[in-house]
Amino acid sequence: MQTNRKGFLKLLDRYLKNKVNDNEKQAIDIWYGTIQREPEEGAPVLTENEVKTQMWMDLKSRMHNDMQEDLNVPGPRWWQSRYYQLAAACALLLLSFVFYRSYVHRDTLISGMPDLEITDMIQGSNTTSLAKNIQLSDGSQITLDPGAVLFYPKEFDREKRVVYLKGNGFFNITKDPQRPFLVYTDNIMTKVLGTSFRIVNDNAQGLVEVSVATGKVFVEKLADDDAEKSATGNGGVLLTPNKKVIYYTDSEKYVVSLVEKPQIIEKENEYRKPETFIFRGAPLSQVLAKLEKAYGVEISVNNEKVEDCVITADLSQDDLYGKLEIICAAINAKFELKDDRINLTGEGCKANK
Amino acid sequence: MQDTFSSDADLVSYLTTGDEHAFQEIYDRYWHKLYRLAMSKVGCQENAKEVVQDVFLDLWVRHKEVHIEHLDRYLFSAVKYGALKSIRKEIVRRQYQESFIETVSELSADTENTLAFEELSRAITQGIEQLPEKGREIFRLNRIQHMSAREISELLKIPERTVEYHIAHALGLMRGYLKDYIISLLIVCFTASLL
Repeated sequence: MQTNRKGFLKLLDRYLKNKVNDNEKQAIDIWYGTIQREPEEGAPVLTENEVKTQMWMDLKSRMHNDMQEDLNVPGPRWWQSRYYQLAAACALLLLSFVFYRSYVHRDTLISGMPDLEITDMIQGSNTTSLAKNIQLSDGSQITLDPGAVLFYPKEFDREKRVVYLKGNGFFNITKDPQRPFLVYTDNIMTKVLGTSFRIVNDNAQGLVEVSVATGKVFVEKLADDDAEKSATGNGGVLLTPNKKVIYYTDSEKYVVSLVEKPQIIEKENEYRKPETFIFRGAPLSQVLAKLEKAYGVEISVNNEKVEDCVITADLSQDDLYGKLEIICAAINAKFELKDDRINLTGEGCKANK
Repeated sequence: MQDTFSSDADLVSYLTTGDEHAFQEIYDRYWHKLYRLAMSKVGCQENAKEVVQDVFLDLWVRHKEVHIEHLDRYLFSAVKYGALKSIRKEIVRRQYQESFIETVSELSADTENTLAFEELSRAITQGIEQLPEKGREIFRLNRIQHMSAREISELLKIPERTVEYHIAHALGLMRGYLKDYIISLLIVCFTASLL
Protein backbone atom coordinates (compact mmCIF):
# COMPACT_ATOMS: atom_id res chain seq x y z
CA MET A 1 0.00 0.00 0.00
CA GLN A 2 2.76 2.34 0.98
CA THR A 3 4.47 1.94 -2.35
CA ASN A 4 1.43 1.65 -4.47
CA ARG A 5 -0.83 4.35 -3.19
CA LYS A 6 -0.62 6.07 -6.54
CA GLY A 7 -1.84 3.03 -8.39
CA PHE A 8 -4.62 2.56 -5.90
CA LEU A 9 -5.63 6.16 -6.42
CA LYS A 10 -5.83 5.59 -10.16
CA LEU A 11 -7.99 2.56 -9.58
CA LEU A 12 -10.27 4.54 -7.32
CA ASP A 13 -10.41 7.33 -9.89
CA ARG A 14 -11.49 4.96 -12.58
CA TYR A 15 -14.09 3.48 -10.29
CA LEU A 16 -15.51 6.93 -9.60
CA LYS A 17 -15.61 7.66 -13.32
CA ASN A 18 -17.29 4.34 -13.92
CA LYS A 19 -14.44 3.12 -16.10
CA VAL A 20 -13.51 -0.06 -14.25
CA ASN A 21 -14.11 -3.58 -15.45
CA ASP A 22 -16.27 -5.99 -13.47
CA ASN A 23 -13.39 -7.52 -11.52
CA GLU A 24 -12.01 -4.18 -10.52
CA LYS A 25 -15.47 -2.96 -9.54
CA GLN A 26 -15.97 -6.00 -7.39
CA ALA A 27 -12.65 -5.56 -5.62
CA ILE A 28 -13.41 -1.95 -4.77
CA ASP A 29 -16.95 -2.85 -3.68
CA ILE A 30 -15.65 -5.50 -1.31
CA TRP A 31 -13.00 -3.18 -0.02
CA TYR A 32 -15.58 -0.45 0.56
CA GLY A 33 -17.78 -2.92 2.39
CA THR A 34 -15.06 -3.63 4.92
CA ILE A 35 -14.38 -0.01 5.79
CA GLN A 36 -15.55 0.71 9.29
CA ARG A 37 -13.80 3.70 10.77
CA GLU A 38 -14.00 4.99 14.27
CA PRO A 39 -14.79 8.68 14.63
CA GLU A 40 -11.71 10.82 15.03
CA GLU A 41 -10.85 12.07 18.42
CA GLY A 42 -10.74 15.78 18.88
CA ALA A 43 -12.84 16.40 15.81
CA PRO A 44 -15.50 19.04 16.24
CA VAL A 45 -18.30 17.29 18.00
CA LEU A 46 -21.83 18.20 17.11
CA THR A 47 -24.68 16.18 18.47
CA GLU A 48 -26.58 14.26 15.84
CA ASN A 49 -29.48 16.63 16.25
CA GLU A 50 -27.23 19.56 15.53
CA VAL A 51 -25.93 17.79 12.46
CA LYS A 52 -29.46 17.18 11.30
CA THR A 53 -30.48 20.80 11.72
CA GLN A 54 -27.29 22.21 10.23
CA MET A 55 -27.45 20.02 7.19
CA TRP A 56 -31.08 20.85 6.62
CA MET A 57 -30.51 24.60 6.94
CA ASP A 58 -27.62 24.44 4.51
CA LEU A 59 -29.64 22.33 2.13
CA LYS A 60 -32.55 24.74 2.25
CA SER A 61 -30.40 27.71 1.36
CA ARG A 62 -28.55 25.85 -1.36
CA MET A 63 -31.68 24.26 -2.77
CA HIS A 64 -33.04 27.61 -3.79
CA ASN A 65 -29.80 28.93 -5.14
CA ASP A 66 -29.39 25.91 -7.30
CA MET A 67 -32.98 26.10 -8.44
CA GLN A 68 -32.40 29.59 -9.69
CA GLU A 69 -29.50 28.44 -11.76
CA ASP A 70 -31.70 25.68 -12.96
CA LEU A 71 -34.30 28.12 -14.21
CA ASN A 72 -31.70 29.94 -16.22
CA VAL A 73 -31.01 26.87 -18.27
CA PRO A 74 -32.54 27.80 -21.60
CA GLY A 75 -34.66 25.60 -23.75
CA PRO A 76 -33.72 24.18 -27.13
CA ARG A 77 -32.26 26.35 -29.81
CA TRP A 78 -31.80 29.12 -27.36
CA TRP A 79 -28.88 30.52 -29.25
CA GLN A 80 -31.16 31.56 -32.07
CA SER A 81 -33.06 33.95 -29.87
CA ARG A 82 -32.21 37.63 -30.15
CA TYR A 83 -32.03 37.94 -26.40
CA TYR A 84 -29.39 35.35 -26.15
CA GLN A 85 -27.40 36.87 -28.96
CA LEU A 86 -27.52 40.12 -27.10
CA ALA A 87 -26.63 38.37 -23.86
CA ALA A 88 -23.76 36.59 -25.55
CA ALA A 89 -22.45 39.92 -26.79
CA CYS A 90 -22.68 41.31 -23.27
CA ALA A 91 -20.99 38.27 -21.82
CA LEU A 92 -18.22 38.63 -24.33
CA LEU A 93 -17.80 42.25 -23.42
CA LEU A 94 -17.75 41.41 -19.75
CA LEU A 95 -15.31 38.60 -20.32
CA SER A 96 -12.93 40.77 -22.26
CA PHE A 97 -13.19 43.35 -19.52
CA VAL A 98 -12.33 40.80 -16.87
CA PHE A 99 -9.59 39.52 -19.11
CA TYR A 100 -8.27 43.01 -19.57
CA ARG A 101 -8.39 43.70 -15.85
CA SER A 102 -6.67 40.50 -14.95
CA TYR A 103 -3.90 40.81 -17.47
CA VAL A 104 -3.32 44.50 -17.81
CA HIS A 105 -4.10 45.56 -14.26
CA ARG A 106 -2.90 42.39 -12.81
CA ASP A 107 -1.92 43.85 -9.52
CA THR A 108 -5.45 44.80 -8.52
CA LEU A 109 -6.55 41.18 -8.58
CA ILE A 110 -5.72 37.86 -7.07
CA SER A 111 -4.34 35.51 -9.71
CA GLY A 112 -6.46 32.47 -10.05
CA MET A 113 -9.55 34.09 -8.54
CA PRO A 114 -12.57 35.50 -10.30
CA ASP A 115 -12.70 39.26 -10.05
CA LEU A 116 -16.37 39.48 -9.15
CA GLU A 117 -16.04 37.69 -5.86
CA ILE A 118 -13.55 40.22 -4.65
CA THR A 119 -14.98 43.55 -5.74
CA ASP A 120 -18.04 43.29 -3.49
CA MET A 121 -15.85 43.26 -0.44
CA ILE A 122 -14.47 45.95 1.80
CA GLN A 123 -11.00 46.94 0.73
CA GLY A 124 -8.55 47.60 3.51
CA SER A 125 -5.25 48.89 2.20
CA ASN A 126 -2.16 50.04 3.92
CA THR A 127 -0.86 53.14 2.18
CA THR A 128 1.29 54.16 5.13
CA SER A 129 4.89 53.20 5.57
CA LEU A 130 4.18 51.41 8.85
CA ALA A 131 2.35 48.21 9.64
CA LYS A 132 -1.41 48.64 9.86
CA ASN A 133 -3.92 46.65 11.89
CA ILE A 134 -7.33 45.58 10.68
CA GLN A 135 -9.87 43.90 12.90
CA LEU A 136 -12.45 41.67 11.24
CA SER A 137 -16.00 40.99 12.34
CA ASP A 138 -15.03 37.66 13.92
CA GLY A 139 -12.37 39.33 16.07
CA SER A 140 -9.44 38.18 13.95
CA GLN A 141 -6.55 40.64 13.74
CA ILE A 142 -4.65 41.20 10.55
CA THR A 143 -1.48 43.23 10.36
CA LEU A 144 -0.80 44.49 6.86
CA ASP A 145 2.67 45.41 5.69
CA PRO A 146 3.00 48.71 3.82
CA GLY A 147 1.46 48.43 0.37
CA ALA A 148 -0.66 45.41 1.23
CA VAL A 149 -4.38 45.21 0.50
CA LEU A 150 -6.92 42.99 2.20
CA PHE A 151 -10.39 42.34 0.78
CA TYR A 152 -12.85 41.18 3.40
CA PRO A 153 -16.60 41.07 3.90
CA LYS A 154 -18.46 43.11 6.51
CA GLU A 155 -19.84 39.89 7.94
CA PHE A 156 -18.57 36.42 7.21
CA ASP A 157 -20.67 33.53 5.88
CA ARG A 158 -22.02 30.99 8.24
CA GLU A 159 -19.86 28.26 6.69
CA LYS A 160 -16.50 29.83 6.16
CA ARG A 161 -14.54 33.01 6.50
CA VAL A 162 -12.95 34.14 3.25
CA VAL A 163 -10.57 37.02 2.64
CA TYR A 164 -8.22 37.98 -0.18
CA LEU A 165 -4.74 39.34 0.30
CA LYS A 166 -2.41 41.32 -1.94
CA GLY A 167 1.05 41.84 -0.50
CA ASN A 168 2.22 40.72 2.90
CA GLY A 169 0.43 40.32 6.19
CA PHE A 170 0.39 38.64 9.56
CA PHE A 171 -2.84 36.89 10.51
CA ASN A 172 -4.03 36.20 14.03
CA ILE A 173 -7.23 34.28 13.55
CA THR A 174 -9.96 33.84 16.14
CA LYS A 175 -10.62 30.19 16.73
CA ASP A 176 -13.84 28.87 15.22
CA PRO A 177 -13.70 25.18 14.33
CA GLN A 178 -17.08 25.38 12.61
CA ARG A 179 -15.94 28.10 10.24
CA PRO A 180 -12.54 27.68 8.67
CA PHE A 181 -10.71 30.83 7.70
CA LEU A 182 -9.47 30.98 4.11
CA VAL A 183 -6.95 33.44 2.74
CA TYR A 184 -6.65 33.61 -1.02
CA THR A 185 -3.48 35.09 -2.41
CA ASP A 186 -1.92 34.89 -5.84
CA ASN A 187 -2.10 31.25 -6.81
CA ILE A 188 -2.48 29.73 -3.39
CA MET A 189 -5.05 29.35 -0.66
CA THR A 190 -4.23 29.14 3.04
CA LYS A 191 -6.76 27.55 5.33
CA VAL A 192 -6.92 27.54 9.11
CA LEU A 193 -9.36 27.09 11.93
CA GLY A 194 -7.73 29.49 14.37
CA THR A 195 -4.01 30.26 14.46
CA SER A 196 -1.52 32.90 13.57
CA PHE A 197 0.67 32.93 10.52
CA ARG A 198 2.33 35.24 8.05
CA ILE A 199 1.99 35.45 4.28
CA VAL A 200 4.62 37.04 2.08
CA ASN A 201 3.98 37.60 -1.62
CA ASP A 202 7.20 38.10 -3.50
CA ASN A 203 6.21 38.77 -7.07
CA ALA A 204 9.71 39.69 -8.11
CA GLN A 205 10.97 36.24 -7.22
CA GLY A 206 7.73 34.53 -8.20
CA LEU A 207 7.01 32.99 -4.83
CA VAL A 208 4.56 33.05 -1.99
CA GLU A 209 5.70 32.16 1.51
CA VAL A 210 3.45 31.15 4.38
CA SER A 211 4.97 30.72 7.84
CA VAL A 212 3.20 29.49 10.92
CA ALA A 213 3.45 30.98 14.38
CA THR A 214 0.78 28.99 16.20
CA GLY A 215 -1.71 26.26 15.34
CA LYS A 216 -2.01 24.32 12.13
CA VAL A 217 -2.27 25.83 8.70
CA PHE A 218 -3.13 24.22 5.43
CA VAL A 219 -1.85 25.64 2.16
CA GLU A 220 -2.81 24.63 -1.32
CA LYS A 221 -2.53 26.07 -4.76
CA LEU A 222 -5.59 27.37 -6.53
CA ALA A 223 -6.96 25.13 -9.23
CA ASP A 224 -6.91 26.50 -12.75
CA ASP A 225 -10.62 25.93 -12.87
CA ASP A 226 -12.29 28.64 -10.83
CA ALA A 227 -15.32 26.55 -10.06
CA GLU A 228 -13.05 24.22 -8.22
CA LYS A 229 -10.93 26.89 -6.72
CA SER A 230 -10.79 25.38 -3.34
CA ALA A 231 -11.79 21.88 -4.22
CA THR A 232 -9.36 19.31 -3.15
CA GLY A 233 -7.38 17.08 -5.38
CA ASN A 234 -4.69 19.54 -6.28
CA GLY A 235 -2.71 18.72 -3.21
CA GLY A 236 -1.42 20.98 -0.51
CA VAL A 237 0.66 20.95 2.60
CA LEU A 238 -0.14 20.97 6.25
CA LEU A 239 2.09 23.20 8.32
CA THR A 240 2.67 23.12 12.04
CA PRO A 241 4.20 25.93 14.12
CA ASN A 242 7.68 27.11 13.14
CA LYS A 243 7.27 25.60 9.68
CA LYS A 244 6.93 27.58 6.53
CA VAL A 245 6.20 26.73 2.95
CA ILE A 246 7.42 28.56 -0.09
CA TYR A 247 5.29 28.15 -3.16
CA TYR A 248 7.11 28.76 -6.42
CA THR A 249 4.67 30.15 -8.93
CA ASP A 250 6.49 29.02 -12.06
CA SER A 251 7.28 25.46 -11.17
CA GLU A 252 4.15 25.14 -8.99
CA LYS A 253 6.22 23.47 -6.30
CA TYR A 254 5.99 23.70 -2.56
CA VAL A 255 9.12 23.66 -0.46
CA VAL A 256 8.68 23.19 3.26
CA SER A 257 11.28 24.42 5.71
CA LEU A 258 11.63 26.03 9.10
CA VAL A 259 10.99 29.69 9.78
CA GLU A 260 14.03 31.89 10.32
CA LYS A 261 13.51 32.31 14.05
CA PRO A 262 11.65 29.33 15.48
CA GLN A 263 9.81 30.21 18.68
CA ILE A 264 8.85 27.97 21.55
CA ILE A 265 5.44 26.61 20.69
CA GLU A 266 2.63 28.35 22.51
CA LYS A 267 1.12 25.33 24.16
CA GLU A 268 4.48 24.08 25.39
CA ASN A 269 4.62 26.62 28.17
CA GLU A 270 6.67 24.52 30.51
CA TYR A 271 9.59 24.95 28.13
CA ARG A 272 9.58 28.70 28.67
CA LYS A 273 11.07 28.44 32.12
CA PRO A 274 14.75 29.33 31.86
CA GLU A 275 15.86 26.30 33.87
CA THR A 276 14.48 23.98 31.20
CA PHE A 277 17.47 24.63 29.02
CA ILE A 278 20.18 24.61 31.62
CA PHE A 279 21.88 21.23 31.38
CA ARG A 280 24.40 19.61 33.68
CA GLY A 281 25.79 16.44 32.28
CA ALA A 282 22.69 15.62 30.29
CA PRO A 283 22.94 13.14 27.43
CA LEU A 284 22.50 14.76 24.03
CA SER A 285 19.49 12.59 23.25
CA GLN A 286 17.66 14.19 26.16
CA VAL A 287 18.67 17.69 25.13
CA LEU A 288 17.52 17.14 21.57
CA ALA A 289 14.25 15.61 22.68
CA LYS A 290 13.52 18.75 24.67
CA LEU A 291 14.32 20.96 21.70
CA GLU A 292 12.12 18.88 19.42
CA LYS A 293 9.20 19.18 21.76
CA ALA A 294 9.62 22.84 22.56
CA TYR A 295 9.98 23.99 18.96
CA GLY A 296 7.91 21.33 17.24
CA VAL A 297 10.80 20.35 14.96
CA GLU A 298 12.42 17.10 14.07
CA ILE A 299 16.12 16.71 14.79
CA SER A 300 17.95 13.67 13.52
CA VAL A 301 21.44 12.54 14.32
CA ASN A 302 23.72 10.80 11.85
CA ASN A 303 25.10 8.25 14.25
CA GLU A 304 24.10 6.88 17.60
CA LYS A 305 27.41 7.66 19.23
CA VAL A 306 26.63 11.35 19.03
CA GLU A 307 23.54 10.85 21.15
CA ASP A 308 25.69 9.65 24.02
CA CYS A 309 27.63 12.89 24.19
CA VAL A 310 27.10 14.69 27.43
CA ILE A 311 26.08 18.34 27.51
CA THR A 312 26.72 20.85 30.25
CA ALA A 313 25.55 24.26 29.15
CA ASP A 314 23.16 27.12 29.78
CA LEU A 315 21.09 27.41 26.64
CA SER A 316 18.30 29.43 28.18
CA GLN A 317 19.19 32.72 26.51
CA ASP A 318 19.53 31.57 22.94
CA ASP A 319 17.07 30.94 20.16
CA LEU A 320 16.85 27.50 18.56
CA TYR A 321 19.72 27.96 16.16
CA GLY A 322 21.84 29.60 18.86
CA LYS A 323 21.21 26.63 21.12
CA LEU A 324 22.20 24.24 18.36
CA GLU A 325 25.38 26.17 17.66
CA ILE A 326 26.44 25.94 21.29
CA ILE A 327 25.69 22.22 21.40
CA CYS A 328 27.59 21.60 18.20
CA ALA A 329 30.58 23.60 19.41
CA ALA A 330 30.62 21.55 22.60
CA ILE A 331 30.64 18.17 20.92
CA ASN A 332 32.39 19.10 17.71
CA ALA A 333 29.43 18.47 15.48
CA LYS A 334 27.62 20.35 12.73
CA PHE A 335 23.97 20.93 12.01
CA GLU A 336 22.15 21.71 8.82
CA LEU A 337 18.60 22.32 7.75
CA LYS A 338 17.14 19.79 5.37
CA ASP A 339 13.63 20.80 4.33
CA ASP A 340 11.81 21.16 7.62
CA ARG A 341 14.16 18.94 9.57
CA ILE A 342 17.45 19.50 11.30
CA ASN A 343 20.28 17.07 10.77
CA LEU A 344 23.10 16.86 13.24
CA THR A 345 26.34 15.24 12.17
CA GLY A 346 29.35 14.51 14.27
CA GLU A 347 31.90 11.90 15.22
CA GLY A 348 30.46 11.17 18.62
CA CYS A 349 32.21 11.56 21.93
CA LYS A 350 34.70 9.35 23.68
CA ALA A 351 33.08 7.52 26.53
CA ASN A 352 33.73 9.76 29.50
CA LYS A 353 31.41 8.25 32.00
CA MET B 1 -49.48 16.82 4.13
CA GLN B 2 -46.48 14.83 5.22
CA ASP B 3 -48.61 12.15 6.82
CA THR B 4 -50.14 11.26 3.51
CA PHE B 5 -46.86 9.97 2.09
CA SER B 6 -46.80 6.34 2.81
CA SER B 7 -44.18 4.60 0.75
CA ASP B 8 -40.79 5.56 -0.60
CA ALA B 9 -42.16 5.11 -4.10
CA ASP B 10 -44.86 7.70 -3.40
CA LEU B 11 -42.26 10.08 -2.07
CA VAL B 12 -40.16 9.66 -5.17
CA SER B 13 -43.06 10.39 -7.47
CA TYR B 14 -43.96 13.52 -5.50
CA LEU B 15 -40.33 14.52 -5.58
CA THR B 16 -40.17 14.40 -9.36
CA THR B 17 -42.85 17.09 -9.42
CA GLY B 18 -40.61 19.29 -7.27
CA ASP B 19 -42.57 18.80 -4.03
CA GLU B 20 -40.46 20.22 -1.22
CA HIS B 21 -42.47 18.45 1.46
CA ALA B 22 -41.69 15.14 -0.14
CA PHE B 23 -38.06 16.10 -0.19
CA GLN B 24 -38.13 17.01 3.46
CA GLU B 25 -39.84 13.75 4.30
CA ILE B 26 -37.10 11.86 2.46
CA TYR B 27 -34.54 13.83 4.41
CA ASP B 28 -36.24 13.08 7.71
CA ARG B 29 -36.54 9.45 6.86
CA TYR B 30 -32.99 8.87 5.66
CA TRP B 31 -30.59 11.48 6.94
CA HIS B 32 -29.68 9.50 10.03
CA LYS B 33 -28.99 6.19 8.33
CA LEU B 34 -26.96 7.92 5.66
CA TYR B 35 -25.04 10.01 8.14
CA ARG B 36 -24.17 6.96 10.26
CA LEU B 37 -23.05 5.14 7.14
CA ALA B 38 -20.95 8.06 5.97
CA MET B 39 -19.39 8.43 9.44
CA SER B 40 -18.31 4.81 9.41
CA LYS B 41 -16.70 5.25 6.00
CA VAL B 42 -15.00 8.61 6.30
CA GLY B 43 -14.55 8.63 10.08
CA CYS B 44 -14.89 12.34 10.47
CA GLN B 45 -17.93 14.42 11.20
CA GLU B 46 -17.10 17.25 8.86
CA ASN B 47 -16.58 14.97 5.88
CA ALA B 48 -19.56 12.78 6.67
CA LYS B 49 -21.78 15.83 6.79
CA GLU B 50 -20.48 16.99 3.48
CA VAL B 51 -21.03 13.62 1.85
CA VAL B 52 -24.62 13.34 3.07
CA GLN B 53 -25.46 16.92 2.27
CA ASP B 54 -24.19 16.51 -1.26
CA VAL B 55 -26.28 13.40 -1.71
CA PHE B 56 -29.45 15.28 -0.77
CA LEU B 57 -28.55 18.38 -2.69
CA ASP B 58 -27.87 16.32 -5.79
CA LEU B 59 -31.18 14.53 -5.33
CA TRP B 60 -32.97 17.84 -5.18
CA VAL B 61 -31.18 19.50 -8.05
CA ARG B 62 -31.79 16.58 -10.33
CA HIS B 63 -35.25 15.70 -9.07
CA LYS B 64 -36.74 16.03 -12.54
CA GLU B 65 -34.34 13.68 -14.24
CA VAL B 66 -33.56 10.99 -11.72
CA HIS B 67 -35.17 7.61 -12.12
CA ILE B 68 -35.23 5.93 -8.77
CA GLU B 69 -36.58 2.48 -8.34
CA HIS B 70 -35.51 1.84 -4.79
CA LEU B 71 -34.94 5.01 -2.87
CA ASP B 72 -32.91 3.35 -0.12
CA ARG B 73 -30.55 1.63 -2.52
CA TYR B 74 -30.20 4.77 -4.55
CA LEU B 75 -29.28 6.82 -1.50
CA PHE B 76 -26.87 4.24 -0.11
CA SER B 77 -24.98 4.01 -3.36
CA ALA B 78 -24.92 7.79 -3.60
CA VAL B 79 -23.27 7.85 -0.17
CA LYS B 80 -20.85 5.19 -1.32
CA TYR B 81 -19.85 7.32 -4.26
CA GLY B 82 -19.46 10.39 -2.06
CA ALA B 83 -17.53 8.52 0.61
CA LEU B 84 -15.12 7.06 -1.94
CA LYS B 85 -14.60 10.51 -3.37
CA SER B 86 -13.89 11.81 0.10
CA ILE B 87 -11.44 8.98 0.79
CA ARG B 88 -9.80 9.69 -2.52
CA LYS B 89 -9.21 13.27 -1.43
CA GLU B 90 -7.70 12.01 1.79
CA ILE B 91 -5.27 9.80 -0.08
CA VAL B 92 -4.29 12.63 -2.38
CA ARG B 93 -3.58 14.89 0.55
CA ARG B 94 -1.65 12.26 2.33
CA GLN B 95 0.35 11.56 -0.77
CA TYR B 96 1.12 15.23 -1.16
CA GLN B 97 2.34 15.53 2.36
CA GLU B 98 4.68 12.66 1.80
CA SER B 99 5.77 13.60 -1.67
CA PHE B 100 8.76 15.44 -0.30
CA ILE B 101 10.21 12.19 0.89
CA GLU B 102 8.95 9.87 -1.78
CA THR B 103 11.09 9.23 -4.77
CA VAL B 104 9.51 9.37 -8.16
CA SER B 105 8.22 6.01 -9.22
CA GLU B 106 9.68 4.59 -12.39
CA LEU B 107 6.59 2.59 -13.20
CA SER B 108 4.17 3.84 -15.79
CA ALA B 109 0.72 4.94 -14.71
CA ASP B 110 -0.92 1.89 -16.30
CA THR B 111 1.42 -0.55 -14.65
CA GLU B 112 0.82 1.07 -11.29
CA ASN B 113 -2.89 0.85 -11.78
CA THR B 114 -2.74 -2.81 -12.72
CA LEU B 115 -0.41 -3.62 -9.86
CA ALA B 116 -2.67 -1.86 -7.40
CA PHE B 117 -5.64 -3.84 -8.60
CA GLU B 118 -3.74 -7.12 -8.49
CA GLU B 119 -2.49 -6.35 -5.03
CA LEU B 120 -5.96 -5.56 -3.73
CA SER B 121 -7.46 -8.48 -5.55
CA ARG B 122 -4.90 -10.83 -4.04
CA ALA B 123 -5.54 -9.48 -0.57
CA ILE B 124 -9.26 -10.03 -1.04
CA THR B 125 -8.86 -13.57 -2.36
CA GLN B 126 -6.50 -14.46 0.47
CA GLY B 127 -8.88 -12.91 2.94
CA ILE B 128 -11.82 -14.91 1.61
CA GLU B 129 -9.75 -18.11 1.74
CA GLN B 130 -9.12 -17.52 5.41
CA LEU B 131 -12.76 -17.09 6.33
CA PRO B 132 -14.46 -19.98 8.14
CA GLU B 133 -16.30 -22.23 5.70
CA LYS B 134 -19.85 -21.09 6.31
CA GLY B 135 -18.84 -17.47 6.42
CA ARG B 136 -16.87 -17.84 3.21
CA GLU B 137 -19.81 -19.24 1.30
CA ILE B 138 -22.19 -16.61 2.54
CA PHE B 139 -19.70 -13.83 1.98
CA ARG B 140 -19.22 -14.96 -1.63
CA LEU B 141 -22.95 -15.12 -2.27
CA ASN B 142 -23.50 -11.75 -0.70
CA ARG B 143 -20.53 -9.76 -2.00
CA ILE B 144 -19.73 -11.48 -5.27
CA GLN B 145 -23.09 -12.82 -6.41
CA HIS B 146 -24.81 -9.80 -4.88
CA MET B 147 -27.51 -11.84 -3.22
CA SER B 148 -29.42 -10.27 -0.35
CA ALA B 149 -29.54 -11.83 3.10
CA ARG B 150 -33.08 -12.98 2.45
CA GLU B 151 -32.19 -14.67 -0.84
CA ILE B 152 -29.28 -16.43 0.80
CA SER B 153 -31.48 -17.54 3.67
CA GLU B 154 -33.91 -19.11 1.20
CA LEU B 155 -31.14 -20.72 -0.82
CA LEU B 156 -29.31 -22.24 2.13
CA LYS B 157 -32.40 -22.79 4.25
CA ILE B 158 -31.04 -21.03 7.27
CA PRO B 159 -32.63 -18.15 9.17
CA GLU B 160 -32.07 -14.69 7.75
CA ARG B 161 -30.65 -13.47 11.03
CA THR B 162 -28.03 -16.18 10.93
CA VAL B 163 -27.09 -15.07 7.43
CA GLU B 164 -26.81 -11.49 8.63
CA TYR B 165 -24.63 -12.59 11.48
CA HIS B 166 -22.31 -14.47 9.12
CA ILE B 167 -22.06 -11.50 6.78
CA ALA B 168 -21.21 -9.13 9.62
CA HIS B 169 -18.71 -11.57 11.05
CA ALA B 170 -17.04 -12.17 7.69
CA LEU B 171 -16.86 -8.45 7.05
CA GLY B 172 -15.15 -8.02 10.38
CA LEU B 173 -12.54 -10.64 9.50
CA MET B 174 -12.06 -9.20 6.03
CA ARG B 175 -11.57 -5.81 7.60
CA GLY B 176 -8.62 -7.27 9.44
CA TYR B 177 -7.15 -8.79 6.28
CA LEU B 178 -7.60 -5.61 4.29
CA LYS B 179 -6.58 -3.20 6.98
CA ASP B 180 -3.58 -2.02 5.01
CA TYR B 181 -5.96 -0.80 2.39
CA ILE B 182 -8.10 1.07 4.75
CA ILE B 183 -6.59 3.16 7.33
CA SER B 184 -3.07 3.54 6.18
CA LEU B 185 -4.92 6.21 4.24
CA LEU B 186 -6.01 8.01 7.29
CA ILE B 187 -4.86 11.47 8.12
CA VAL B 188 -6.15 13.95 10.63
CA CYS B 189 -9.67 15.11 10.26
CA PHE B 190 -8.54 18.67 10.02
CA THR B 191 -6.86 18.43 6.66
CA ALA B 192 -9.36 16.09 5.17
CA SER B 193 -12.21 18.30 6.11
CA LEU B 194 -11.00 21.23 4.15
CA LEU B 195 -14.00 21.91 2.08
